[in-house]
Amino acid sequence: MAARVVLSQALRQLAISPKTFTVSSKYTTNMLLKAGGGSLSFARSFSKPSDEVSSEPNTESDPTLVVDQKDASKMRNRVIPVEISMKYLKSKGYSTTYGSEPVWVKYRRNFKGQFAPDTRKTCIRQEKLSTGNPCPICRDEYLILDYRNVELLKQFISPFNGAILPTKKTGLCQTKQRELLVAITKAKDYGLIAFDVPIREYDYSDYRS
Amino acid sequence: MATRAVMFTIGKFRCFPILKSGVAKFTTSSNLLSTATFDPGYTRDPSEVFFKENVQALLDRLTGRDYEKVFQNRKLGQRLEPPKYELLTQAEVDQVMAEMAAKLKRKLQMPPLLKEREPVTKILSEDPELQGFDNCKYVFINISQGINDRKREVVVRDPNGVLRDASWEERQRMCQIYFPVPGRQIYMPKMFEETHLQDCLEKGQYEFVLDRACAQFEPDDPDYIRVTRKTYNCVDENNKFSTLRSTRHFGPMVLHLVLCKRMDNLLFHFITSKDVKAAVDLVRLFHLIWSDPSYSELDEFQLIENYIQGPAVKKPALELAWQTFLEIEKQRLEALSLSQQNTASN
Repeated sequence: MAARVVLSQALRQLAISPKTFTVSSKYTTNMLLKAGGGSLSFARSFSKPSDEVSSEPNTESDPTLVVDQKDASKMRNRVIPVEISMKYLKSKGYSTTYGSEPVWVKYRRNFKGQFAPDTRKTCIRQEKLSTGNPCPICRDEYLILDYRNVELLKQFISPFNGAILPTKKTGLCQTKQRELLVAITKAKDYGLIAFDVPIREYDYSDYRS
Repeated sequence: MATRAVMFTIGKFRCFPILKSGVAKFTTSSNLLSTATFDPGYTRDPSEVFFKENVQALLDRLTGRDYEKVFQNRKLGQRLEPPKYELLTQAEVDQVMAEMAAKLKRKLQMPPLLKEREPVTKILSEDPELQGFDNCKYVFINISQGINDRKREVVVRDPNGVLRDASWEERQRMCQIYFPVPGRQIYMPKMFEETHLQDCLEKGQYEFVLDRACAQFEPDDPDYIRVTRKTYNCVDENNKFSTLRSTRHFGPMVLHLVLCKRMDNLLFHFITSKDVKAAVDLVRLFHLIWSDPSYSELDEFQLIENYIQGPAVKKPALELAWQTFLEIEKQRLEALSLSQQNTASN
């Protein structure tokens, strides 16, 4: 709520109607990045919104989007490099948002009854969040599931028996769970995640000359 | 606008052969990595010494018996159960301890140290009239139960009409498809390539690398030998012997170092940690392998001193460590005799 209020004030200063404005992908980039983890992104930091939101529409070749003010935070069309995600996991914004717990711990699913059904197929449709209460990975655009992002992947591996945690526990949507499985398998293949290997027994008579 | 990377379903993480009229078809693909040039350290066949009983006994003694480490809970994705508490008589406790000792011996079974295997060259028949029957080779495997995978019949019909025994890589790949070994991948994990292997070793994950190598390769596979020797050399250079102590890999590592004649770091480690028995065993092993066994009849301290004066490479460091150890021993014995005199007089 605070974010929306602040943004509408900024827009009022620039004499733009606060309800809708034409914004190209270039400006969503600016708004989301330059506010330092952003007043519009899920990971709240307490920095001021940027003053660089321009009233002029982008005249470059990028196609423009007509985006509602509240929809800007739902866009998931940017491809964020893994290195930035790895840097984000060590940042102050991350630690204020999640602390030292895994990212899925504080997430709460909404369903009727005692027993949770399987998680949804995907939170993201047509390059934007299409649900309220998206899953722990989809809601934070700087959490990228990649085989190099070991710190994030380890949060989804059980510390007790080394198994990958089920979606009933973590709340990930099915597409993200599949991405997670791929990333973890790849990381284990590259040797970035160590794990216990089943012991192999030998019959010496096979090898004696 | 930037597009997202294409996602793909992982399906089953295994490659299945394409069946064509009941016969598996493979396109030619090289599974073998070029073994990077590395110094093998020795040309002697280690299997001559590895399977000898006295060598096995010495290596077993050197490995140590840390029950806590060996019986550590392995995280294999299993269903966890709470621990059980039982009330037993002394006889029952002794029986359980004996069972545990046998179980420990099984867990500490050493992976064999062998020389590289010879490539398979046996040709079963040459039929030039079959030339060009297809653009890929056909691989046939006998999938009867109860045959040892090393003796299982795997033959290949090349497009030039030659029927030959499958190479070791083809054999392992086929056997893994039809009779999968747990922990083994069909293609060699990228972890065993030079750059990634180096990264793992720098992080100090020696036991992980060795365990995975044991599961992935046969002990006479050139890749297995390359990976294990590189790991042993790394452990030796960084003096991290305690990480492998009381594991199944310590014995083969010690034998490798003795065969390379680079056991001085290990001897230094034993002396500085005051493990004289292990130091003596190590020197005895050296003499067993490199010279005549009559040396082993000497006194313990004499043996070590002979080694330090004689075949040792890092003489100054070993000398110093040995002298320090003798000093400490002397002081300890003096203190002990003094306290004994005091208690006797009292």
